[in-house]
Amino acid sequence: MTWAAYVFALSFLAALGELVLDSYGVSLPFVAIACFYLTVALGIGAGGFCAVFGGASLDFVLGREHPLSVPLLLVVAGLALLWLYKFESKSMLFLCVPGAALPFIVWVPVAFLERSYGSGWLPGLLLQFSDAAVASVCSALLLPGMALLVDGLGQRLEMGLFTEAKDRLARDT
Amino acid sequence: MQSGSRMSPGMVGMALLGVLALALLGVMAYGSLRRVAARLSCDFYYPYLRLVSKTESSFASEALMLRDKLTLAKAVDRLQADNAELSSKVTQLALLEKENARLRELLAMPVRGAFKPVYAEVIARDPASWYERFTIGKGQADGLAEGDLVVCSVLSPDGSKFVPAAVGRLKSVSRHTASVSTLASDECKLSVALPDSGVAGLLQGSGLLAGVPAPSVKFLPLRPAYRAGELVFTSGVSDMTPPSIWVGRLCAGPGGAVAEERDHIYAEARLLPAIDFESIRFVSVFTRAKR
Repeated sequence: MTWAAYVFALSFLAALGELVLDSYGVSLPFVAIACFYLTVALGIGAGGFCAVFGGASLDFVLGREHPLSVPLLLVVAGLALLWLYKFESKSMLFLCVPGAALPFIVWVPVAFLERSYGSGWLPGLLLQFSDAAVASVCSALLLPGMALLVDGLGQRLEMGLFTEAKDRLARDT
Repeated sequence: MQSGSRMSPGMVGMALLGVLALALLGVMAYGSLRRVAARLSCDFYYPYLRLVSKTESSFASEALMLRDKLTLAKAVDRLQADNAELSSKVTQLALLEKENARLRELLAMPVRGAFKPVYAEVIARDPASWYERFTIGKGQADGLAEGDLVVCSVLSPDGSKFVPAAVGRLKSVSRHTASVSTLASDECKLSVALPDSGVAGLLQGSGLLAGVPAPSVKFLPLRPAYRAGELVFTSGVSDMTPPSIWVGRLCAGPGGAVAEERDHIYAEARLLPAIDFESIRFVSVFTRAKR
């Protein structure tokens, strides 16, 4: 029960935070970060729930024409598993790499499809990349920061931790 | 064993049919499921998003207290004068409305439904489609319906007063929220009139002109007389849209011409909307009064 409430609360707060900041024109992929964190720390079930709940919330509340966020966030959950199995998850500095990649995965396809450009799709694509580059820098700092912060909360609630995911995996296998 | 192998193709066929039927059902129900999920999501997040905008408004109100008393007193005086002027205009309009209805009755013409403006605040906006759509904090509970015209206050073409100008239409409505498709979006279609040329057209489509949304006015008669700066208003042909709401001005397209011929049938012109889509915070929705 605590597990479910913890996963729901994180997904909801991430979606609400992203919706509020979006309304001020600030685009930060909180849901993608939460999805990555939950997949590594608690498994694909938690990450998958966050992808479906958070992605659907973003698409529906923002009235998007193409509800692409759910599949794109599921891709993020898959990449998080790949990160867990193939790379080191203890090093917080190393986390900047997937953090920087997240806006390009979840934001550029959505932004490209949602905006109306008329015939000028190439300048539009370049514009999206420049916007995503700014979000990428912020996201590269946010993912390790949020992993540390949420791990602190998870430790109190005796939840699976991001920093211990690799050790847990080694023990299990 | 033999009987099992005889049953197998049939069972496989049934299973395939079942899967196909489920897939078909999923495709058919997708639209409805999406609508229901969208309404549930919007209403679920509404109190939290409303709380954010309420907090922001209360901070803005508190910030007024930082101004000196003289400035505030002058502002109150100005508002009282505006209020008195608007009240007299409303009384005058109510009389005209009655007179209009009576004249229509005498001529056996159907009485046009009145529109009621509903004030709303923007509660969510997507940076991915900043110009194209946004969500407002009013919905079915306030009488709004899909297709209603959304307007915002801007300075009139001559710059003398504030008038409502078209922003877009309601695309979908939940109990407490509504999604607005702006004039810059492909989804918004609006019947418009050009009083100077005495013609009507259909505003539709999207496109940017020097980084600013510039939708097209299509199906205009093939006349070379269109000029840049010509004013465009809603035509009021549709029952959902009040007439004579300012939409924008015609402007020269990328080729330099104001209107371009399409398929030797009609002319198409670019429109510069009256609204600045960059910073919309409050809007009004014209909804049918007797719905």
